[in-house]
Amino acid sequence: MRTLFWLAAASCAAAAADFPSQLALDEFRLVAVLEGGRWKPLDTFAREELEFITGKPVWHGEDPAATVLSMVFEAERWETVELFRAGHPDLVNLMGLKRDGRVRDVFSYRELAEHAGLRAEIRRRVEAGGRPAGARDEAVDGIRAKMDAFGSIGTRLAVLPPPPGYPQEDAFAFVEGAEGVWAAARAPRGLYPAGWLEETERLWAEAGGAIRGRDAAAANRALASLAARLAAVNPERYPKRSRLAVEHAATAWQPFRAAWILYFAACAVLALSLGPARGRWRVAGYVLLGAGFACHLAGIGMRAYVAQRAPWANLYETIVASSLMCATLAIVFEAIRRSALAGLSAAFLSGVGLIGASLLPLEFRTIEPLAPALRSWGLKYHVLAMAGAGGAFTLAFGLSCFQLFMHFVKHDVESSESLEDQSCQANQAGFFCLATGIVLGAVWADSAWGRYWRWDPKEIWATVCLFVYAAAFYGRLNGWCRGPRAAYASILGYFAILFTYFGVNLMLTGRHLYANPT
Amino acid sequence: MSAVHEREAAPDIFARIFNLLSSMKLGFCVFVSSAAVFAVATIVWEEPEAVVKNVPWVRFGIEALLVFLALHLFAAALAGYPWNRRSIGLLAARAGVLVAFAGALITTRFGREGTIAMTEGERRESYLTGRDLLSVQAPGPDGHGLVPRENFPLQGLVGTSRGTSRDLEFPLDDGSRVLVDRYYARYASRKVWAEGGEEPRPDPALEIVVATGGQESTQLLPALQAAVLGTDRLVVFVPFVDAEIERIVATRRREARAGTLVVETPGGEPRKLDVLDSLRKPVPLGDGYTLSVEQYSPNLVVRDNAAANEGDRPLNPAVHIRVTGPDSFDRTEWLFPEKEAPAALGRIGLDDRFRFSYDFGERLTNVYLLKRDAGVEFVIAAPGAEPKRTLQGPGGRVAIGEGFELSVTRVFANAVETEEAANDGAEKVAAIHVVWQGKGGQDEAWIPFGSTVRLTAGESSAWFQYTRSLAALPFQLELRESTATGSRIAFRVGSGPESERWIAVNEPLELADPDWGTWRIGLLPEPPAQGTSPTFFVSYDPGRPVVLAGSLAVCAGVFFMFWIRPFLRKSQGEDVAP
Repeated sequence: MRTLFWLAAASCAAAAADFPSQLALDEFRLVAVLEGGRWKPLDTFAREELEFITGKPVWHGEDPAATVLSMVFEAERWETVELFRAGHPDLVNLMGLKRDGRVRDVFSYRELAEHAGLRAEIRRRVEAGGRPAGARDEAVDGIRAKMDAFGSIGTRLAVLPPPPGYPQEDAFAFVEGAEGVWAAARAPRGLYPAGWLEETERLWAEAGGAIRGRDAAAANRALASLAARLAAVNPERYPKRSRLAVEHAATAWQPFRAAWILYFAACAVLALSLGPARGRWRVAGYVLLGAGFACHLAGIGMRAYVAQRAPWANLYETIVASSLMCATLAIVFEAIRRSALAGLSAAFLSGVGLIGASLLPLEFRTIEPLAPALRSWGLKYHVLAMAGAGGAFTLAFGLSCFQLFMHFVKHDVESSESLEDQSCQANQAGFFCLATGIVLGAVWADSAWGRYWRWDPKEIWATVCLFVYAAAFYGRLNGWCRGPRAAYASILGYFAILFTYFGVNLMLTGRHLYANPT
Repeated sequence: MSAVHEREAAPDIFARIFNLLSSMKLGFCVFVSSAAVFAVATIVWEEPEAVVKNVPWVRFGIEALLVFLALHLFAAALAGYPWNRRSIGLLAARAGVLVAFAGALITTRFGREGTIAMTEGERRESYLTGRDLLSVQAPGPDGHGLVPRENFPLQGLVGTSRGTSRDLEFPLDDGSRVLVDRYYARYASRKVWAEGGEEPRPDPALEIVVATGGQESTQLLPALQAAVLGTDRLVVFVPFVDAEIERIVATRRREARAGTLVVETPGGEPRKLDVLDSLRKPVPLGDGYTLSVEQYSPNLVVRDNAAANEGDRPLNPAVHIRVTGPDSFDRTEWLFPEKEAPAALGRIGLDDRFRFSYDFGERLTNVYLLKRDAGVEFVIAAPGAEPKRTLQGPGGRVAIGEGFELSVTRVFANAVETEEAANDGAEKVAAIHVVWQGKGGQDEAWIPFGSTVRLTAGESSAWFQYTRSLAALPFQLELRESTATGSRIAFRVGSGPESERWIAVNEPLELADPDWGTWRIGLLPEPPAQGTSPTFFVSYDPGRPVVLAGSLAVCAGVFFMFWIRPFLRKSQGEDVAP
């Protein structure tokens, strides 16, 4: 009897632990949420919130949508789950909590909210205001933002579309009031069809009750009904299902990750193709490079479709676009010059570029609505030209590095000269794109700011890069930049490009801002 | 020797100069120099535009570089004469740069630009230029408002990271002089305390530095006001000049109950028990031990070798606890919040199992200052304890309990709050420092951009405004409607009909100038702050089409050079290495 009791208890516990996987969220994860100025599927909202709060988009392998729904309906339970990382040794010491004799660095919401020392630190930062003075202030601000995000996740889950005829772009969340009654906060109740909102609130409460009670079947029924109702109330304003589905596919499939994996595989195979049995490996290498390019292009295309704009509006997107341009040029080089080293360089550098982009903070990687200044043809053509320049110069950099390797290590003069020519051709392509990009940027600046040239640091540094490469071409013509010196000039020019892109963006002030707007 | 040989042998200075100017090596050097100068400029100067416009030697240097570049390109283009089909690209690129430079010169010489901020319904016929101006103003004829008296252009103000500028001095029509001797691009004003003058007034204060946990903070402690340290400590400065201390004065106190009893076990989480809630209620500790809070005494005193309570004020709070356990274990102890408390009246003897401490949750520490000729003396006293007096000057550090250390860095007989200017503000707000040397004296002030400040020298006053000069528009503008996405502007040229147009970011309005050229009025991308009006840029640039034509020629020339020319050479059977 006792054995049966323990078996029953164990199976109940196992069922409870496995509850998220029993939720059928194929439709509900595509429910649109209005957050950050745009409509996104619940799946994307959930991943972004989890990544912001916990540092990872998925919590212990659970479906992110299921996790977020649980956070909304079982908030009290989640308050005791260790979600928040302290982020700074001083904060860890301040919390002073231990487990198994060791100091912990992950805390629950309740521990943080009840800790007098942390409350004092937060109060100090609130009273001081302004920018953080150091890493400790940043950690305090960061943890406060995460706590606020966790605490408000339910009120920000705005899944209720506006009623037909509602003038503003808005959406509403369901909020639990007194005595556990769920209601749509701020919603214009009188504008919805009679009885519709009340029935929807009832379904939401039913879903919440089922999730709390671990009744997967009831939860699935309620959520499926909700998904259909929410999509049908205002079809004109509700985002297209295809867009939501594509965005979900992009986050689930992660085409950029597939691309860099294939790029690195291509890199390894093309390296092998430099050996004795080159033909077979070479074909395989270019097939992998092509497959990586296809994934890369698909990812950019999906992002463009989801964002409904040119997909190169921020640092993350332009790095991804530049990496694509690098791979594109390498494929062209292969078609024209049969250059395995171009493919090898591009595969490696494009892969590095994609990995670097993926390591950027979340605020760079999320799709945001365009600022008014960017809503222009200039975004499409000026930034594309600059991305093309970045990609071409990146390829030239890789080829120049190989040139130096061939010259100093392999002592292969013929290969070295061939690589010098290829690097020069890549630099020419980059120079043309850079010059075109500068001209297009000047035209865009003229219509946006009233002047085509403002001595903006970004403008100046783009011109610096143009001058550096112009000097390199001049040096090649007069014999000063030949051989290894040509490679040095190409590499120096690429450093100027890197500073133009990252150093100016992140360290200097100006209107081409990511960090310090004026 | 023949005349021909004489001509060939004699050095042709113009040919040498021409050869030098057209050489690739000079071109290489010019490009490298230009790149280096521009790169350094962005790193050294926070506002390259202001520096290039206002610092003469910088402007001259950059113009000289660009002129040199133009001369090289011109000479190099001429050196290729007679030109053929294959030199089209290089020629076009060089000519394009020269044309673009010419357009830039036209822009510099004839271009005009500025901004207009308008509210709905407002009409404008002028715009604010980029030329800074110091406007000296006087009260209007009817005594209301201010009217401009004299205006002085502020040329040469530079927003460098160090905030330096050359001095600008202007004589006023009344014989006084005004000097502008500093310019900050990121002006920020901070309140600081200074000694308030010779006449003593009853505003003594201490500037104290409080150190705890490795961090220090500086604050001003005026007399009879409490400073909060950390989360639960108060410091009060009570000055008694030439007087002895008779009693401790508490000026602020927070609400506190009886505090918290903390029980710690090795390897476990500390338990906290509210003293009043736990009064005379047994609390199991584990291993068969039980804790009971027997008594709470707000002000424990010792009389006749026995503990007694005196009053309800928590001047010396203490808690009496009893611990019972197996084998008839029964012990009691008095616990005090202070670590250096009077010796406990009993011992529990269970340090290897349980540790008890008492957190009262409120602290009041008084700091007294007595001004002496020899320096500064201060006295620290905790409630109920004998005051500790320490004679030391500013800079010495004194421990005041619970990890806090305090030192006095400055003593004010009369602390006066003043403002100190810095060039590190978070917002980009420019300001100038103005010194007015009037007939009866001198006065000075910082004037942020857009502000008007009154200076008084002797019996006379003048108002100074830091602004920009206005220029007239050849048309009238009126803002009819302003929304988040754009603005509706009505415009009239001269006495012509009125028209309306919607202006958004990146969609400027173009109006023909009555003489020649085109004006552009556009909405600046930066959204206005809540409650402020949108800002429009105004631009008249006759050089714009010339620059655009030159730029397109550059791009076309580069394309021809890199891809068409090799194709042509290849088609003629020549080597086409890049």
